[in-house]
Amino acid sequence: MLKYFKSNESILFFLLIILCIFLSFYNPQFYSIQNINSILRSSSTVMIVAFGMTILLTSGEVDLSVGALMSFVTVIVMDVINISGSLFLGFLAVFIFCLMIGLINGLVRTMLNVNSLIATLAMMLILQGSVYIYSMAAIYNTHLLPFFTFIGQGFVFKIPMPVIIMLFILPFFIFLLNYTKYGRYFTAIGSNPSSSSLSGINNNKFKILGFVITSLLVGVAGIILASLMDTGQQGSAKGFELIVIAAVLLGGTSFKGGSGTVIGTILGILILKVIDNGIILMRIPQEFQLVVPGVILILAVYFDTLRKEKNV
Amino acid sequence: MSNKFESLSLQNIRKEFPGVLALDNVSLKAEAGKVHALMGENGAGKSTLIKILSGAYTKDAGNILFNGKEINITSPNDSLNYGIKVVYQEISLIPEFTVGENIFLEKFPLNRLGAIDWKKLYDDCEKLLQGIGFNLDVREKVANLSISEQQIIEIARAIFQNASVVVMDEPTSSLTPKEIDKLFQVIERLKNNDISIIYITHKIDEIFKIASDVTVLRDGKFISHRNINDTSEEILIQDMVGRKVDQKFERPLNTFSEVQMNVKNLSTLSKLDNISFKLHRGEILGFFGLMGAGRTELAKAIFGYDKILNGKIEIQGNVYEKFNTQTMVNNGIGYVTEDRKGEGIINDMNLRENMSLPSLGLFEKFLIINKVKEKKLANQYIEKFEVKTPSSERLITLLSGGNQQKILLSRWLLRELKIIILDEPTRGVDIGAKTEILKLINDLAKDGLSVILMTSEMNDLLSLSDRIIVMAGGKISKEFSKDIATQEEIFKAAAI
Amino acid sequence: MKIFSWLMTVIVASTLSFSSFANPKKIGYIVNYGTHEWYQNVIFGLQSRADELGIDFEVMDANLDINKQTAMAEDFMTKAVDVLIMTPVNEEGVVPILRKAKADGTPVVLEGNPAKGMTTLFAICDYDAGYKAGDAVGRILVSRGETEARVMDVGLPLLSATVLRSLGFMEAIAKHVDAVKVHELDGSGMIDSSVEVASAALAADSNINVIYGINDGSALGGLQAWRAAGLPENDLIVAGTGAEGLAFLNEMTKENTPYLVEAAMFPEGVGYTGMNLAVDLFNGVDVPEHKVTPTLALTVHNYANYYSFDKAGQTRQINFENVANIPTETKCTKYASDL
Repeated sequence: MLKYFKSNESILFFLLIILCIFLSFYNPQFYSIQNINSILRSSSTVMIVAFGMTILLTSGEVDLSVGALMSFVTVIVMDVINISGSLFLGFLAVFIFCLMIGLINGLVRTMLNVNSLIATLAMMLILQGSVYIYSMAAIYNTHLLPFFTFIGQGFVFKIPMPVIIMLFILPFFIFLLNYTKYGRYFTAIGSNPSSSSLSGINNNKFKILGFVITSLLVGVAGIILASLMDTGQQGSAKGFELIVIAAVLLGGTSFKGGSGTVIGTILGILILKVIDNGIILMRIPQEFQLVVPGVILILAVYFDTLRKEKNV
Repeated sequence: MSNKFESLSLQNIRKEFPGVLALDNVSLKAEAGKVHALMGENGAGKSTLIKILSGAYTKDAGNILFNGKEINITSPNDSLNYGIKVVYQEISLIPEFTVGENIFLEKFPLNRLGAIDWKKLYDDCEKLLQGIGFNLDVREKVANLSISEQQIIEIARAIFQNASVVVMDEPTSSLTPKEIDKLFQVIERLKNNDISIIYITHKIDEIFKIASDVTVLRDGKFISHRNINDTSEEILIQDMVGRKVDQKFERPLNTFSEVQMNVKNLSTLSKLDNISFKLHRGEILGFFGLMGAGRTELAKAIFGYDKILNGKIEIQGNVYEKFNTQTMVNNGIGYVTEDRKGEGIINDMNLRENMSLPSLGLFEKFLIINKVKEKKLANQYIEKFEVKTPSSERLITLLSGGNQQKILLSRWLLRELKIIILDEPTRGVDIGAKTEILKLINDLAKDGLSVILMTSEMNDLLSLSDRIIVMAGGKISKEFSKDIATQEEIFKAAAI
Repeated sequence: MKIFSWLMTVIVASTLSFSSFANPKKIGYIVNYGTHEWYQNVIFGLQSRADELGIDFEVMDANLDINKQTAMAEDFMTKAVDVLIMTPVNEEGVVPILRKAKADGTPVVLEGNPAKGMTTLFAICDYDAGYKAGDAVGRILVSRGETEARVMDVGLPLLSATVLRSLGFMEAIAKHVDAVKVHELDGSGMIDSSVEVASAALAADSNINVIYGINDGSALGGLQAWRAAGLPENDLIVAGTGAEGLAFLNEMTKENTPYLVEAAMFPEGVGYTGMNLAVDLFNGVDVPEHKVTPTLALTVHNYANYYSFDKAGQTRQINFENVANIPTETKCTKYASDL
């Protein structure tokens, strides 16, 4: 059977279709606009951050601080807009903050030469702690700006806004990874850093860029989450980094760097989210929301290795 | 083994992988007290045969006879039980263990209390090493030993495990001439102990020193089995390549005037100490040095990969004191590494992508890479260098070493280049590809490219270089012009 | 109110000076998860009462780590606190601490969860809190002429306390109208996970007229999911639990909000009651094994009796007196052991 699936994407696509068919047999509601919107909406924040994580993993790095940063972003954006009454200032504050965190992650990785697993784990802890220094209490929406609510909860042509935002960002990353030299550089850096450096590529520059891009995307996702919760909530987005990383790995990106596609990542996320959705639709105990993706992830990585072995 | 080892023969071995016939009717007989050389280009089937012997693969057809009796090898364990021991190119010792611990790893001698009997271990170890004519501090950590010493420890381990057949896979590829001599002495001792050796190498001159028989494989097929006295270098090359190979090329005495690069007082933290030299346009400047002399370090320092402590590099009027690889690539310098797997090829990329990596700007328009243009140029170089591949879209890992090396050379040649630094360009490359690469270097220099050629292959060095700089201990020890350089003088300068 | 509490302090202090009782000098509290809003407010209540009584009060945060809690308890014993108050990180882990405190002669008061070997505990009744919210929702449904409650329960099925809340809520509604639990969800008690699971559940079946959340985050998450799905809010009733922080006040005071009921647990009141209990224990007064702290269903009409809410400044001020006057059960209707 394996020979019919030349690429990881086709396996994932097949898996996704099977899942969808199975779930629609079980519950015809699966194909309702509402349900599809619900899946897509909750996928979109994961996807937005996963685009950056795909770049990072492709270049052989990882960022564990995305969940903690996202939660921090919800607090900052709500607070700054509450105080200033200006969406622009709120967003500006978020992106300056994210830029800073991304830069620090990148510099600690490259200049101090700390393994990114450790560097960003430390950043995660720092962010998780310091968000409470910023504010002990959750920050509620007192500005009541309608556009802010629209970002997470609104619809355009019956499509949820978060999905629209994701669709705006998506082409940029497909373009970046598939059609520009930067995509090649990220692959080269992840696959063989010495070789890419010996080809005249400034590895560190691109690694820092990867961290910064990821952090900025977390800024976008965090604003959406804040709007969706209507709250700036410390401790939200718990475990978000693991979902993102699992989805990117499921999408065929190697943890050792070198290979990764945005389309694979998107399929990986959709599979995880459809499973999440299915577990609620089928009223299976929700603890399985963690178990099933874990099993699928192992299987996916196993099939990927099998396929690669056959190709060689 | 209680019964004495006499011979191990492989008869009509066949092994098929999906889509590839890796071994087709191959036979070989290894006899006690003899060295049997196994030769062939990369992809000829040598490794597959060894893996069948070691139990890593199982044969599809054919027989394996031990002392004339048929045996079955289905696992590495079976193979070890018959005393078949493979010493691979990559050392598999534990660096933090001592020599004695490594040799006795599988079977530490115990005292009455069941604890390790260290005195007995080290005494036995000393005896064992002396038995093969090798003096070494058995309490030394393996990490502190040279590669050749480590290799000899691997061999000693094989003997300790009662080896009847020792398979050596290119044992001399990273050894100095002195070390090679030592290894050959050990091999003589093994012969005297009635051990059979299957010796795999690319270096033809070696087999005339130690082997009694030579078997040549090509494309998975058995080509010839000859007694060493009935063959010659030419015959063997013809057997391996399948055609006559012209190993000679013209490199007349040249004089150069235009300085392309001027390296002044270069030092690094790692090793290099006050290196100065000039490189002229169209010149092939050879570098020679034993292991640890600092050649590779020099290449990487010039290229901006390793940080320099002080010194500067002048390239056509521009002086650089702080620079990275990007600076050097932009200045028209290219570098082909000695470590093709570790620092050269990018596994996750195909030939085209590997080739175009430093030069993507050439194909860029409005940020988009023009893949059609890129493919066209890649195919041009694939054709030019006769790279054996169905297409430019093939993963580079699927190519043989020689073809990979051609791609890595193309990586630089497809762009505008002034200087190319070649570090062991023919290492691990089979003989056919090797002569092509050497010829190419010569042609490039004729076209005005400056070449820094770092090689341990004395013949290549002498025939190609216009000047030869010999390094030792991170310093330049001597410089020879082409007309006065001899092998003896170079070795003398290198051994300081 | 400030004047009142000042007066109270004077009166209490003067009474005490004539009585044989003396106030403890130093009381320590080990919270299990100090960064949570709920505990912030519990600490506020404890501190308020300690200030009134002139007690030196110190807080340490075990941050969900039982080893930390053990070490902190030993620390407090070394500091010779007169009473030690603890919210156990887990019920088994705290038993050795209780044993050690007994040997040391330090009286211990637990908050929230009981443990083997304890003397006294102050805690809300989860079932009764849920029940009060359900009762209030039931009345609203009846007043609207509805005959059926179709409930989405944004719960936390792994904790017995939160299961009791959901159970109380459903059983109270059933006294008024037909009660159907359409969705039973696990929102992890967090607003973002609640939004996520509720979105999926609503997509499967949005024929719902009641959303119940076992805490404020869950209720708000359920409501936000409803809004994000673009569903009409006219006939919906949302009820939350806890009154942990400002969330319910912000939402409840909006115009046309469906967030109508909050099963308030008055965390500040919990702290206030707890401090009194600690003082009683110190003085050898006969204390109940379980001191129930007040709970009440709050709506937009009555919340001001208990909380003065400054929306612009995002602060709330509890009225300790009114909270203390809420009629409170001496025993919970149902405990975890009844599940």
